[in-house]
Amino acid sequence: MTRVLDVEDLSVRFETDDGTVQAVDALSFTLDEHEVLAVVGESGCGKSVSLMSLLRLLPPSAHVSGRAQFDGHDLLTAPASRVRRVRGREIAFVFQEPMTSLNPSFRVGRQIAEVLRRHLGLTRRAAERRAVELLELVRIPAPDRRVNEYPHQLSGGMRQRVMIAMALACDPKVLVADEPTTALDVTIQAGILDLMRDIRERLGTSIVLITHNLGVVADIADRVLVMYAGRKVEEAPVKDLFRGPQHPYTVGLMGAIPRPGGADHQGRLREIPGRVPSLVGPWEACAFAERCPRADEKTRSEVPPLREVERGHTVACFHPGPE
Amino acid sequence: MSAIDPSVSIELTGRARRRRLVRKRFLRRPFAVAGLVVALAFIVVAIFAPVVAPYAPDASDFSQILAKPSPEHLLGTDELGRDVFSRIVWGSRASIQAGVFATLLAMAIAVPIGLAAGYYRGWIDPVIARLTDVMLAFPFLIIAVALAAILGPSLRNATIALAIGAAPALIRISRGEALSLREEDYVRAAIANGASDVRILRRHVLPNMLSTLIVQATVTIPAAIIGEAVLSFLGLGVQSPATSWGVMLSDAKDYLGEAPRLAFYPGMAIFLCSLSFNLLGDGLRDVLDPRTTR
Repeated sequence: MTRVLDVEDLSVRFETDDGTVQAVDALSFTLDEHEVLAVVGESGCGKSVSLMSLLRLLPPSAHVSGRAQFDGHDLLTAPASRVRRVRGREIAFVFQEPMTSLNPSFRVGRQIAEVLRRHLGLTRRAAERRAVELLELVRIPAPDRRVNEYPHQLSGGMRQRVMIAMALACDPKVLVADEPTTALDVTIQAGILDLMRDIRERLGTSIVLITHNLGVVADIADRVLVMYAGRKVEEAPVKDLFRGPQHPYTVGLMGAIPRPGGADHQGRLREIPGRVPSLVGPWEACAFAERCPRADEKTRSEVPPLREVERGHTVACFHPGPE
Repeated sequence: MSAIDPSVSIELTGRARRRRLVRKRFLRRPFAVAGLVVALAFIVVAIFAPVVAPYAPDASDFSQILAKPSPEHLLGTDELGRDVFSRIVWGSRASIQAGVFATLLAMAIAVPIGLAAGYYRGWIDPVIARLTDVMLAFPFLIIAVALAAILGPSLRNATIALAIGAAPALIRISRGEALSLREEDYVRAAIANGASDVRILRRHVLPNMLSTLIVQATVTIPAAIIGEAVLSFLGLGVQSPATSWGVMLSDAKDYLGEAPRLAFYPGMAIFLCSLSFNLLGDGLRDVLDPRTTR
């Protein structure tokens, strides 16, 4: 397995009027070739921010530190022109909002072609031909007709496929999909996930899937990274995580998956009590302590370090274990 | 026309379909259509003035001073025996030229400034925005009159003065559009796809603000036409014996008692010309605004 991306000690701070917001705190992770890494957590836990910071897609108010080795360069210190060549060419993003992520003024084929012409220097003709192939790759029916359509003529699922086609246009090493299915209905979700799996198989693309849906994770991921309040709280191969979640937060997330037999005796889903803490100020305790049934004195006075409980399975908790 | 033949409409590409839809919606507005026809007529007349006008604009016939309308002189003659109809036809050149070129020049100045301010923000944005506010505090015509007085009287300078006078409003509009368009998801997606700033401005921001700009242009043109008339009336634009509607009005003011028609005809021309562009603009705004459904 070749390592594609190696992120170490990534921190993202935002200076706001209410003080410093530590959106991502000392996050380290790696991504191998051909691998699907799922990043899970509640809204606002820093999933999207951490991935976007790698390509410097954050507003100037964000202060990013750490290292991100990609293709022999540190993305966080590389010159802006180099980062721009990586964007879309080697690391491609698919965003959450397919309805608004396409420019309404141009035919979708032209928008795909534009990426190809810019990054690969194809002629207009060749780029448009390739756009048809790409639409076929993402299983859009009648692609030779669809290339000539405007975004408003396509459904949400179709538009998300176009976005994926655009992301795949330059055959990137890494595809970052930021909640690609959240805005879509369930049957189309399944189709999109199926497509991503197929892409990984056929093109060998590494995929980072940002999601809060553990059902999706079980379906497609190889490895899972659980984030909470800007920190990594648990990381494990997907089978290990579902067999034996260690962190009480992960355990809580699992309990909240709606599934037959997953609910308790009253037929109710278990929720995690409380809310995500505000991210203002440095941590002096476990961020999850307020909501954790296992919290004690130690949890409230010390930040738990990441420990390996079994091979490839790390957790940041003083009282790990399933249930 | 086989407009109902489904096989034909399916073959149409999206762009053609959208164009057809826009045309259909436009044609359903009689005032807009009338505005378009009249505005086009004025433009055609201005271009072909030598062909349309029966006399040269400065040809005097001293046997026919202040003559009433007749078959030889459709709208009569003025105090120097010049044919009023011919002068109005030739005068349309100055008006249309000032109206169209001042608007184009104003766009050329204002759009890049507005885009830069709205897209890059930073220190440049408040500076440009406040300067624009200061400019907008003065009435459009006051600025144009002051600039024309500084630049010296001629049609070219009047056009430049009008363009600079019209620029602040256009800067504000393009800045506002850029400001909202830069937050669009497709701009974010384009950045993530490695597009450069220039490319984003050219491909994603500018095309999406085009309909707003077109509508604004059709509002600026009549304002510039009236502005040209005002400047020429004040002696800051076209100089006699060359003609423009403003010059004609200025000449006619001494004969209001004897021959009020000398003021009426150029006034009517100014009125019709600016009204036609205004109606066209209103129609375009309704049609190009994606929120209107009819």
